[in-house]
Amino acid sequence: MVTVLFSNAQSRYTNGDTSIQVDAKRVDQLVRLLVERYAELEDILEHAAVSVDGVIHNDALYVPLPDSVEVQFVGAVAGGSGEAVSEALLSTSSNVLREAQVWLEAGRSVAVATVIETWGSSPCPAGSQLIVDADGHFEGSVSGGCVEGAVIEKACEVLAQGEPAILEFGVADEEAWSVGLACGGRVKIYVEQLL
Amino acid sequence: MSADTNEGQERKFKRIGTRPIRHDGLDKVTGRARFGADYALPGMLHGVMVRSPYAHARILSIDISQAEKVPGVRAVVTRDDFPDVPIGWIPAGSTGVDLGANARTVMAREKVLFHGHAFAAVAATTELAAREAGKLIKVEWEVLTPVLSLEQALAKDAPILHEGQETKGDHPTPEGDSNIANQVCFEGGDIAAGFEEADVIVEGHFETPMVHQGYIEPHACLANVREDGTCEVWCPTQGAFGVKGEVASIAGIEPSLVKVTPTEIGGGFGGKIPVYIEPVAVVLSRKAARPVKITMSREEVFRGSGPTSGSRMWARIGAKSDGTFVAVETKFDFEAGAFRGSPVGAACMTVFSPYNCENFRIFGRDIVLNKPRVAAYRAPGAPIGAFAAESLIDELAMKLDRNPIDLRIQNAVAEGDRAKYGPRFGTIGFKEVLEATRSHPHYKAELGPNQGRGVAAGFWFNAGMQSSATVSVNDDGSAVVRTGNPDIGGSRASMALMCAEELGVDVARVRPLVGDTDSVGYCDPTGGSRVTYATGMAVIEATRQVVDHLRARAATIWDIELDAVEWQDGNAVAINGSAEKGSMSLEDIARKMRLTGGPIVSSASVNPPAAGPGFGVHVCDLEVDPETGVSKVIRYTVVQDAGKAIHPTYVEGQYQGGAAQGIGWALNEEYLWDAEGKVENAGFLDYRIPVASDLPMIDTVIVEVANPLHPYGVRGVGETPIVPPLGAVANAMRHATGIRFHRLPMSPPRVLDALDSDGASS
Repeated sequence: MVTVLFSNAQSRYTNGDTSIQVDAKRVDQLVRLLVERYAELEDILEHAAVSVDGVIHNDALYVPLPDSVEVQFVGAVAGGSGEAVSEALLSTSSNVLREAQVWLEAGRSVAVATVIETWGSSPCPAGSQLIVDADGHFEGSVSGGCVEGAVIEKACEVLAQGEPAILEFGVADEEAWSVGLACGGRVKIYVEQLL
Repeated sequence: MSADTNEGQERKFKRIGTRPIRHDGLDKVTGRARFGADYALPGMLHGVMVRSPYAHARILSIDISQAEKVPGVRAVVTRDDFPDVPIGWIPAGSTGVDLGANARTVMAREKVLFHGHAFAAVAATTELAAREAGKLIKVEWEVLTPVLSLEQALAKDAPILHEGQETKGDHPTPEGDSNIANQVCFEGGDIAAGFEEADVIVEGHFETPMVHQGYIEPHACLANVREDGTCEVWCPTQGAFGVKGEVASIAGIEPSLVKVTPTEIGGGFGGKIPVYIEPVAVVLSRKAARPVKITMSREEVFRGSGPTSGSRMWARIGAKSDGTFVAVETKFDFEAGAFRGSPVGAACMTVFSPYNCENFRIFGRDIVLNKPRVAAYRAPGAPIGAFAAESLIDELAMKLDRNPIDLRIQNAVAEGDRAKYGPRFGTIGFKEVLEATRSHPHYKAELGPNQGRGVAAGFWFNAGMQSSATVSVNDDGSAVVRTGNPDIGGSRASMALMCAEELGVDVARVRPLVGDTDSVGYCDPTGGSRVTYATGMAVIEATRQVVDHLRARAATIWDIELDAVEWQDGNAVAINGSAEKGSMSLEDIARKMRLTGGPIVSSASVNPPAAGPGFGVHVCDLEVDPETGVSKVIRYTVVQDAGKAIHPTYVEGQYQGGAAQGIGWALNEEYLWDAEGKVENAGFLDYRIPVASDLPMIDTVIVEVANPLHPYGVRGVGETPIVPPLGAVANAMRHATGIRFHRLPMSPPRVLDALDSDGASS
């Protein structure tokens, strides 16, 4: 067994997992097992340098993994190249619906929240989307953070009850201040379950 | 080659650690050494690059008909003579390359993206004719608004350099086309709670200018494409195999037809990894059917090659009143120049990794704008980030009334601690280096009036990567060691020393050579502080194989078992039951090679993991003239962990050279731009790098904490020395003047302004 640690940026593709145990004897085997589990990690894993107990291998595919080592996939730094290839550089598109598909394929129930109307100053334009699973894991944004919490809460209800909902947040609402929409705008959000 | 062969700690070396005169020394001091511009062939033409008068313009059409008519002109080339290589990152293992961007850097295609961007080239019988012809090339331009600052690049309605370039990287990323090429974010713990918990917070906005590597030898190359399609290139480069690959892709030639010979090289510092003129000389030679030589002027070097990023940074540190760091945070914006690829990622990885702190958020953005495309420069990105971090740590020490070295020791990482980019550190020597600095006489020396002392720290990763070496024995018992790594900092002497140590012969009996791409095994570039570590490992491995051959030959001569022969300091010694045979020297065995199986030659190739971090701490004493704002470094000491110094003189040379470059960056160096994005100081008269008379003798201390990944403990030393100086000089300036400078360079006019306005404009 080896322990794999994921960075915050990587944990976007691991359902939030930051550490897992995997039974793998070599890096290629480990990558195969991780991709089976987290499909979206593939690009990152294939092109990252690999740290095995702190020793960083640039070309790691066939590097053996002794029992109980700690493994991380990190940006490769070739001193001369000038570019640290972070996992970020190689991460896949930001399309939340693509992500939603991955979640669905993994057997998770997914709700999508879509901004359908805005007025005045609102951080995300109509069409912006946020996806939420039953455990409250989310991806994307409908307000840059202002009302995310309330939307996620509602999305969990939508998943539990199966009924879509339209949410409105505006500066006139008392609730707007409490949920954080302090910028003076108004936003209407449609929340539905993806099937 | 792994930990079980490591002797770095225990082994008694005979030759490692001595200071023999470098093998190339005589040629260098007598002027016989042949650098890029010294190569010539019969019938050779002179090539010149034709460069853009605009910082940002679309090329609608190019008419070369008048230029071709100039007497003596044999070839004029433009984008139409080069294959259209698509833009895009091509991963290769864990790194990669954007050949399309590289091709467009060499020869503009759709647009020119910076003032001085080459869009055509001419080869003629004289350089004068080529220059005249260059002026007659007619271009229909659609002049575009140039993006000349980070502010302009990030503005809402900013002109977009690359249509279709979306921001990659860590989220949230902006929607649609953007001049932000990439975002990097490393996070851990709870940043808000961390700052909540802090008793003291220091923060600041910092700026550093775009600066050039300043290598003394301008780029030069000679290319010859022959009738059979084979192609030879001679050029000063950090990696001949890299040039071979880039020439093949950019000029459109089969790689197997290209042979690159690295010439002697007058400095590179990362800036001679990319190609600028080599593919162009090849295309000109192909078109003209003659050898073509291109030599860049210093002005062209400034306008068209290098540099490293300018930056705009914000950082803050939260600490407990006892000095323990509880939260660190950064936002870095780095100028990439014309194409993506600033070293902001490495800056983020290095900036706070020397210090333990659970709660952190390190964020950086890679931003394109209409300035020259950045190239690697010695520990790319790390000095820039360290300038911000080490300035703030100095502020924190003052706020807490703490000794700045003690404060660093308190927070310093050691083996087992985690870097901000994830992995735990292996065996490192940061605390040893800090302690050696604290006990150095310099640190205790008295200061005079208008003088201040600054301390700063930093590290670099030190790469591994691929290397090959071949060792052959001559019939007089001397040896030749051949590698593919151009010697920039004395590596030939180090390769010879490692070979001599294993063979047990005087280093003068080992001749080190740098081969061309057809005569040595593959080597990644001389860069990443990797050569003494990785190529040295290949040399040791190949020499050990040679020693096994020598033992076997002795066993044959004596007619005994191989196991009964030991190698002891240049001699085969019979042991066990055969001790009566005595010993046989390397010379004796070599003389009989013909009788015992023929020549002895061994090769080894390696691709080891990264060598691991080397830490350095610098102490700078600065004296500032309050009347003029002129500052002078009066004493400077570099303390750094080398793992094991193979040739201490060249280790010290790296320490001194990195410090000198960093001092220049801190005090004087910067590109000055006009309103249209033209560099106004494209020469060493106005772009002021330090010269010998500007600096004191830089003192050095080599700390040796053996690296378990190398058989002798080598760590790599070339890049770390440029990481601390920006902070060390700024901290010295703070203590000499009472003013904290957040913007580099701290040139005399700026210092004077700040003194006159009581620090308000710093």
